[in-house]
Amino acid sequence: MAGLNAFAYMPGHTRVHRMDPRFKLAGLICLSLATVQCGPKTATGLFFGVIFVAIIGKAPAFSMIRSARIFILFLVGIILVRGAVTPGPVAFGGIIPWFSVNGLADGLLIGWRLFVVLLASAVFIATTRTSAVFSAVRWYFRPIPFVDGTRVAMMLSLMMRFIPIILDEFAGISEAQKARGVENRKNPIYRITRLIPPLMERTFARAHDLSLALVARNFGPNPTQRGLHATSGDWVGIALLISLCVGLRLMD
Amino acid sequence: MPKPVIEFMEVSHIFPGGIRGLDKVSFQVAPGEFIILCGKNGSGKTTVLRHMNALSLPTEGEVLVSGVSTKKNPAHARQVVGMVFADVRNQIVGETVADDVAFGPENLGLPEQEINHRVTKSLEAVSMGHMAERRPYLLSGGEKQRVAVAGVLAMDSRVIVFDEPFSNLDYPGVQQVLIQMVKLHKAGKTIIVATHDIEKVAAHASRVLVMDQGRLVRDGALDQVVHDIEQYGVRRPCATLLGREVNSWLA
Ligand SMILES: Nc1ncnc2c1ncn2[C@@H]1O[C@H](COP(=O)(O)OP(=O)(O)OP(=O)(O)O)[C@@H](O)[C@H]1O
Ligand SMILES: [Mg+2]
Repeated sequence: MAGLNAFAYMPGHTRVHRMDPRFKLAGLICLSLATVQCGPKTATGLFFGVIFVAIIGKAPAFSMIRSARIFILFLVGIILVRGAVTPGPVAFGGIIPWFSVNGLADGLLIGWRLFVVLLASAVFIATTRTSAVFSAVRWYFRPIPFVDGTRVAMMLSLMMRFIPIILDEFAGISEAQKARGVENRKNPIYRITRLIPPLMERTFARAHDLSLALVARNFGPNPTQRGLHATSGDWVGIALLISLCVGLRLMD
Repeated sequence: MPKPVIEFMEVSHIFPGGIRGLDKVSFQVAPGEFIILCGKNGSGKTTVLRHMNALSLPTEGEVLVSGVSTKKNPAHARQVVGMVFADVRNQIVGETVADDVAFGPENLGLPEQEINHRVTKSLEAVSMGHMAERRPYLLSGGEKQRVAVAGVLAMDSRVIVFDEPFSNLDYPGVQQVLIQMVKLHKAGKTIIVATHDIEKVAAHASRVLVMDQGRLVRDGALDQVVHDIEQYGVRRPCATLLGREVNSWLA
């Protein structure tokens, strides 16, 4: 179940939890935009901004990111690739001949920006109920012609309910196979062929049960919108965030 | 007799592949009854329950829920008849206990205040108010079951059906669920319990339906049907073998 705990809502009643999800989503988008092509100062400033929000919201952002190690690997990968493809003086006194100083700096900056956005998303997820996220998504899509916001929100909501099920089944099956010594088999292809069929079967069965459970409780396209109550605090919060973003970019 | 809240009229259900799940099943449920639906594995209990809230529709015949055909208005049936699934794990869809209980009322499109009110009331009714902000999948089996019941209560269902509610529960767990059932019944809800093990609920039910190979083979009070119930693969409550009253598990 550890996998399920990583990127998930952490119940709470902090100021950040109580914010209107539309404002939180707008804030997240604004912050992501601010990091586009930004310099190291902006990225670092935003980093501290995110940490500040994480502290108020009691979001365990770092432990969430730690449990999503795969993203860190991804960041390291970016740094390496940038280092390799950017021309310039060689880094590390030429120990790695193809690795340039400019590339390293470039890669670090890109990694740092992505990390800040990742951290901000983690804080957003930890402090916002999924149902509130969908209310916000639906609200934003409403004025857009030809896009059925209700559909989009419903699809997202189904997906979100479904991912934990796959992870859960995956964990259960691989545990059961470990208990029967599958790790003695070194051939990964063998292990995958033993894992995939039961995983598919169980996932489809659970999906079927889940859909019955949803239908039994009248799951439909027009549920009540939850948590869409903008307060003056929300306006102040978003104003502060936008000034931070703009201010940092201007100073960069 | 008051107007039946559920009415099965010659209901047959044939699964894709030709397997006959139900075979001309007819019975009526009056408001406020407490019914045991029993039979061995594969006899058709779950299939009967699923017809009550339009998760399955009859191939032949008709199911009426408070007078309305489930074919014509499935949403109505789902609101009147709340179902607690055999595997409650699958039933829970919210990220927190309160979220899960709110799921049904949200889908009914109720105003937010009314939803919050119902969530609080339903959680209190199953003594889970203090766990509102917990994550459901970390709860014990008995607690999950109570959350599932709260989810049904929040939809204001008049009939509550339980599919195998006692599997996986220990003695205190069974008692907790029984206490809930009796309380709900006293509050005026109609209760239907599908189980192959009638001992645990026998003392509380007023009527027993016995299924066998998709057919309804017995329908009556416990002491009327209990004598030849074992031929349908259902174990007799011990006390009835000794000619005694069945004691409540709550005693
Ligand atoms: N989707 C399906 N497709 C084909 N056959 C099915 C399907 N669902 C159930 N059946 C069959 O219908 C019959 C009745 O099933 P049902 O689940 O109602 O039994 P049950 O009395 O609830 O059994 P249990 O005590 O094991 O839960 C069984 O023989 C079962 O194999
Ligand atoms: Mg069953």
